[in-house]
This record gives sequence, C-alpha cells and structure tokens, in this order.
Amino acid sequence: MSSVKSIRKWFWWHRWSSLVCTLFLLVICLTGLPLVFAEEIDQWINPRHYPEVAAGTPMANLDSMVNKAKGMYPSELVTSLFVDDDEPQVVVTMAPTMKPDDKGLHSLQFDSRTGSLLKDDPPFEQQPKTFMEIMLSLHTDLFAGLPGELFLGLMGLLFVISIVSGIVLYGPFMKKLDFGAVRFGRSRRLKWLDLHNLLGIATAIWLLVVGITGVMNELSTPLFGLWQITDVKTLLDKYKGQSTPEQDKMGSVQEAYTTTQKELPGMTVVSVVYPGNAFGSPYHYLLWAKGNEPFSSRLFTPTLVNARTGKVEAVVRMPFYLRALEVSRPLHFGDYGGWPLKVIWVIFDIAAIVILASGIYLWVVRRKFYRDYFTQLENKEYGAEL
Amino acid sequence: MERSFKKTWRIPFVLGLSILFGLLSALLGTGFWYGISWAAMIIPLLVVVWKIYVARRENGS
Repeated sequence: MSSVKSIRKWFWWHRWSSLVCTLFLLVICLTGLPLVFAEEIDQWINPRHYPEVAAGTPMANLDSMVNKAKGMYPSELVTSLFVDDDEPQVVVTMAPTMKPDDKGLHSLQFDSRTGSLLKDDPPFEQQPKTFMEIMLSLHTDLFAGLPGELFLGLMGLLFVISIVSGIVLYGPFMKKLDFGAVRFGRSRRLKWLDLHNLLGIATAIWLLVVGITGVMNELSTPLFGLWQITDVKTLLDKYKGQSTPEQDKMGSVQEAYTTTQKELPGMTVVSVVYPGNAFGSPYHYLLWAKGNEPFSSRLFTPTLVNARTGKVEAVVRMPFYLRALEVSRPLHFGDYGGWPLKVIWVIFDIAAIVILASGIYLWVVRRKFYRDYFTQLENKEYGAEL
Repeated sequence: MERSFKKTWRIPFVLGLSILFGLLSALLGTGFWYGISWAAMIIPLLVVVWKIYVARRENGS
C-alpha cells in the first residue's frame, strides 16, 4: 500500500474524482446549509396559523372534505390525500386527469379538526418557486428532473471515491507528521495542505455517511420504479382485466382510512393515493402509514384497500432497498436529533466547503508549482546556450 | 512500520468512531441519547479547533 506506485495511483484517483465533482459538490454543500433548516425557514417565511379548537377534538370526516373539494371542482379527479400527523391539516390534491405530469394539479388545504376549507391554491405549475424549492432543486436535480438526479448521484459517487482515496492517502502523507500538525509560518501551500488533511480526516466518517446516503436519495426514483415493476406488479397481476372504478362509485375513503388504521396498531396513516394514480394501484386506495416512534416514523408501510369493497387486501412488506432508502433519509438530512444536531450538521457542512475549496486551491498551486519549475529549467537551458 | 501505522491512525480512528456513535445514537435512541449524540459529534470538531489553535500559537499564522 505504501509503495510509491500505489500512492501515485490513489493520488490520481483522489485528484480526478474530486476535480470532476468539486463544483457540483460546492453547490450541493452551499444549498445544503439552508436546507438543514428547511422546516424552520419555511415556517418563518410562510407561517401557518390554525384556528383554536377545544383540545382533543377528533379528526373531521375525510369524505366530507373530499366532497367539498369535488363540489368546487366537479369535473376533476382527486389524486391523493395528505393527512398531516404534525399539523392539523388535510391536503386534497386534484387534477383534470390522472396523468402524473398534469399541468392542472392543484391542492386544497382543510382544517383536519373542523373539516373547513383553509386554502384553495392555484395549480402547482403556476405558483412561483419558493426560495426553499430553488435550493432543493439546485441540491438534488439542477432543475432537470430524473436526469439531473442521476447526474448529481454520479457526482456524489465521485465524491465518495474522493473521500475513500483521501483516507488512503492520509497514511503516507502523515508518516512524518503528528496528528493535527498544521505548518503555519511556512508556505501557504503547506498550511492549506495540512488544514485540508486535518479537516478531511476528522470529518471523514460524516462526509462518507452523508455522501453515500445522498447518492442513495438520488436513486429514489429508479428504486421506486424497480419496486413498481417487480413486487407491485406481481401483487396487482391478479386484478388484471378489471377496470379502475369511477370516483363517484368508489367506497368511502374515511372507511378505508379507519380500517387501515385499525389494521396497523402503532402506526399512523399519513396519505391516501387514489385508484388510477400512477404512483398507486388502478383498483385500490393505497394508504401510506408510518411508525409512531422516532426511528419507526422513518419507515413506511403501504396498504392496499380495495376501492370497490373497502376491504384491506394487502399490507405490503417493503423490499430491503427501499428500507435502506428510508433509513438513509434522516442520516442525510440530519433532522433526527433536535436542533443541536442540525447546527452540528451545518458546521460539518461548512467544514466540507473548506475541504473542497482548499482542494481546488492545492490543485491550482501544485500545477503552478510544476509549471514554474519547468519554465525555470527551460530558462536555465536557454541561458546556457546563449 | 507497525508503530507508525498505529501512531498515524489512532486519533483519526477514535474521531471516526465518535462520529459514527453520534450518528447512530440519535437515530436509535431519544431523549438522553440525543445529548450523547451531540457530544459525540462535537468532539471531532473541538479537536480540530484545538489543534489549529495550538499550531497557530506555536508557529504564528
């Protein structure tokens, strides 16, 4: 491992994997700073107020909220419901068709305790992007959808390679130095080399975990797609030939909600995907429930309720790769240990920015170092000839 | 050779372990474990700040 040849090889990998991804990683790290506090910033920019009601008021009937929404848009279809477990709201999403990219997709917000309409938003397409949405897009897909996600996923993979090769290089680089030796007072290059090494090795595990889980998150679209064409398809194959029920002939969504909630003790149903939605089943209400404990609240369980009969027909077990994706979310976001953990996340993120920037600096000055060295040599030869 | 490997990697290994422990304790526990997690994750950051402070004081900027 310590032969000069293998050090050169690792160095080549470290240099090129970082150089290719650095600019994108800088954007990711910078946009990541506000994203750590996305929830707080969102609440601050766009505060939501709910009317006071008596404590312990039970949830209003979902059917009545859906009916109100349908009454306002009689020609449209309900595509999904979001039953917030954090704030007292139910969001009904509607569109003229079930196409996932329908330009008319819009949502209505209801007070979940009184069932009264709070807000009727214009279509998503016509709403200006919020600051947080712009940050998120720069962070995850560069406004390019799936291709952007895959591209940034690839950049993340290069970042992981540069971390691993950086850890390997740390050994030979530090052979004659004590941990944390920073050679201030010598050349600026040595100072930044030492700072790069110290910050890099001290934060290496955080960088690796956040890097790997970031790549994992970028793969969420293909992973869900894989699940849909394998497990979900097998599950739905036995209904082949049946038609999607029309919305006014479907069973009660409130009943589907209540039955599923009974079926899954210790869990909370947070959304209902309507039959015909591309992200659901053509024949069922698909209900997503999550656990009530801090860790299990990161794990989701989908349940299929027959939209005609109202019977629970399957509580689906998620495949390992989607479980891994679910666990990788909090580990990437840093939103699972109170606000101090978020502050720690921000500090590590700033350290990552310093590591990236010093890496570019070291590359530039090293190049300059060699170029100057060679011109010096050439000048000497030229002078000798004269 | 063996000695220098140990010498090089002892502190980085401990810091890495501390971060890993911090990441997992907040994920799997709550309340008390949150505090443990914050402490475990702040340690490597404090070590970096301390090392830079010491190096600066000894060698100027």
